[in-house]
Amino acid sequence: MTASNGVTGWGECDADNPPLMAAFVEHSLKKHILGEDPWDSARLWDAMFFGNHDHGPGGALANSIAGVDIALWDLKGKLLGVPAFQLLGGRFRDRIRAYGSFGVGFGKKVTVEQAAEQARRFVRQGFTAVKLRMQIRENRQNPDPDPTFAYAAAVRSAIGPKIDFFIDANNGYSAGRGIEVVRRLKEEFDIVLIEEPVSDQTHQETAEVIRAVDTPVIAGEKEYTRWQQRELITLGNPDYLNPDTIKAGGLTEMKRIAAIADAFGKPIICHNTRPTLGTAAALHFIASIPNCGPMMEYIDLENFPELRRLMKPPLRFEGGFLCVPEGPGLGVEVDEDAIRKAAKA
Amino acid sequence: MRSSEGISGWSDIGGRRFAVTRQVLESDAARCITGASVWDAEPLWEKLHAASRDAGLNGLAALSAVDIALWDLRGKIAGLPVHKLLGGPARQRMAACATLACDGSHVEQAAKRASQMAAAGYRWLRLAVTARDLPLNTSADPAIRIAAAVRAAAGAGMQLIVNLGGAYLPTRAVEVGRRLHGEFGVRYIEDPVSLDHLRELAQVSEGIDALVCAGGAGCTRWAARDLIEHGKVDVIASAIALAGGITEANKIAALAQSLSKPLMPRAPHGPLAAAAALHVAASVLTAGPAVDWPAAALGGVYSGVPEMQDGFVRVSQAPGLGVTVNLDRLGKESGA
Ligand SMILES: [Mg+2]
Repeated sequence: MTASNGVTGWGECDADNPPLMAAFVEHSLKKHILGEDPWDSARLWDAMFFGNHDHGPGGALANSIAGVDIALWDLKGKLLGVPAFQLLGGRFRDRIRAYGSFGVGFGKKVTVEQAAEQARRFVRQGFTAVKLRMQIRENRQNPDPDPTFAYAAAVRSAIGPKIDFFIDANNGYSAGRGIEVVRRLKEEFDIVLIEEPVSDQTHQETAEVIRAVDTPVIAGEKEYTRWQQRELITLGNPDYLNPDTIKAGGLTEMKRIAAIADAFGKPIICHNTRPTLGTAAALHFIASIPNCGPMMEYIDLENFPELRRLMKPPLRFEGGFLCVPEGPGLGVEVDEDAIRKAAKA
Repeated sequence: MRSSEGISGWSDIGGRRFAVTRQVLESDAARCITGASVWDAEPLWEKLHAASRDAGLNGLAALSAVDIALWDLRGKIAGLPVHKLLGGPARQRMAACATLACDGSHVEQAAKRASQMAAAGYRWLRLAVTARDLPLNTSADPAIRIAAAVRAAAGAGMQLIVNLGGAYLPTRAVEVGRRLHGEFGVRYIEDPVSLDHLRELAQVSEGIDALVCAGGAGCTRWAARDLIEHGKVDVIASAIALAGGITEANKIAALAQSLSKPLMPRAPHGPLAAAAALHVAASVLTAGPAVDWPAAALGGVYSGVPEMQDGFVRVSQAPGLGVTVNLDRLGKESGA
C-alpha cells in the first residue's frame, strides 16, 4: 500500500489460498481504500467489512481484510516514524516465548519417526514448548484406531520431560470421547494444554470438555471477528483464545478481540503459522495487549528458508523467545523483488 | 501533563471527592508516569489501575484524567486529532445533549431552563431527577411531575433521557419508567436502580419499553460486561472522565458492540472531557445517540471548544483534543 507521499505499508493476508485473497483484495476491498486517509483505518475496516458483508463475515472476507489492515498499520507507523505497537496502545513486553508447532496430517503426511525428529529439532533450535497438530478434523471424528497416542508418545520421549508439550486435536473428537482422550494424554504424556478438542461449530461441546478436564483448553483460531470470539467465550468458555492476526481481520480487529477477551478474563496465545509479516504484526499486537498468554505459536524456520528471505531484517528468535521488532511500522522491510521471484517459483 | 519536549496534554477531572483524586494523582500517578513513554497508553493504564484500585471511583477518576491528558499529548505530538489516532471518524458530528437536574423543589425553574435549551437548539436533553432519598421509592415521587413540566416546556421535538439516579426499587422503577415512556415519550431511562444492583436492573430492563442505560456513574470493561450480561441494559454509558478515559471507553465500545449494545459517551465534567467524549463518539461506529455538551464553555479559560450548531457538535480537526486551556486566564476565572 503506497501513500501519496510515496511511503509504503505492507500487510499479509491468510496464507492458505493466495489467489482467493488476491481476488478479494482486488475486487472487494481496494475500492474502499484507494484515495482514503490511512489514519482512518478503523473506518476503512468498517467500510471493507460491512460493504462486503454478504460474502459471509466469518471467512475469506475477514482473512483478506487482515492483510489490508496490517498494511495500514505499517503505513501509519512509517508515516509517523514510530513502531506499530506504540500506535496500538504501547508496549507491555519486548519479547514473547514461542512454541514450536508442527502438523502430521492425521498420520498420513508425517511418520511417527519423522515427528519425533521434528520435535527434537525444535528443542535444538531453543524452543521450550512444542505443539503436535494431529489434524484429525470433524470429518474423521473419534478415529478408531487413533494415531494420536503413538505420536504423543514419540514426541514426549523425543523432547524429554522438561519441555512443555501440548496437542492440537484440530476438532477431532466429540465431547464425550474428547474428555477421555484429554485425560489420558494428560496422565501419560503430561500435556500442558489441549487445543480445539471438539468442533468449532458447537461451542457447547467445548464447554462440556472444559467442565470435565483439568487441562486448560485453547480455542479460537477459526473465529475471525469480535462477534465470533465473543460467542466462543460466552458459550464455550475456553481458558485461552488463539486468534490469528492474518486471519481475524488484522490488527484493528485483533485489538477489539483482545479487549473483549480481557473483559471476560481470557488470555490470548496467538495462532501464527508463517515466519513473515504476519509474525511481525502478531508481535506488535502481543506487545500492546495486557492479556497476553504465556507464549505464541511459531514454526520450524528450517522448513521455510525461502520465506525468511522476503523480509529484512529477519525476525529475531533467541533462546526460545521471539523479539518484537523495533523500527517504524512493523519494523521490517519487505524485499519486493524476492517476493516476485518467490511468487513465480 | 508535560512531555520532555515541553508539549502539554490536558484533561478535566471527573468525580466529586477531589481530595482523594488529587492524592492518587500526586502519589500513584506521578510515580507511574514520570519518565514513561507517552505512547504507553495501555501499560500505564494497567499500572495506574492496579496502583489506585483501593481509591475506588475517585482513583478511576484520576486514571481517567491521566489517560485523557495522554491522548491529548499524543495527538499534539503526532499532529493529529485524537479521533484519527483512534482509527478515524465513523461520523463528523453528533447530537449535543443538554443536562438539567431537578429534585422536584423548583419545577418551574427547570421547565424554564428546558425551554431555553430548546430555544438554543438542543434536541437532546438529559433530565437528572435527583430525588434519591432513604427509604427508596419516596412517596412524594417528583419524577412524573418534573418530566411533565419539562416535556411541556421543551416541546415535542426534544428527545428525552431521564436519569433516575438509582433512586428506585425495581417494581417502582418499572412503573415510573413505563409512565415516563408512555406519557412523555422518554426514550432512555438511565440508572433506574442502584449502580451495583444487576438483578434489579435486569428486571427493569425487561419490564419497560424505553431503552435502559447504565454505566455513566463509572464503570470499567469488567463492570460493563456485567451490566450487559446480568443487568441486561440496552445501552452502555461510559463517562469518559470517570470510567478509565478514552482507552477504556474504546475497549468498552468493542465489548458492547460484540453484544449488540451501543455506547453512550458521557462527559458532564467540563469542556476537555466533553471534547474527549466527542472524539470517542466520532470514532466509535456504535456510539450514540448524543454526547453531553456543556451549555457554555467557562468564559475565556478554554478555547477551541466546538460550538453547537443545529443541535449538533462537530469533532475538532486540531491536534490532540483540540481544546486549549488559557493558563493566564485560569487563575483569574477560578478566583485564585
Ligand atoms: Mg490449531
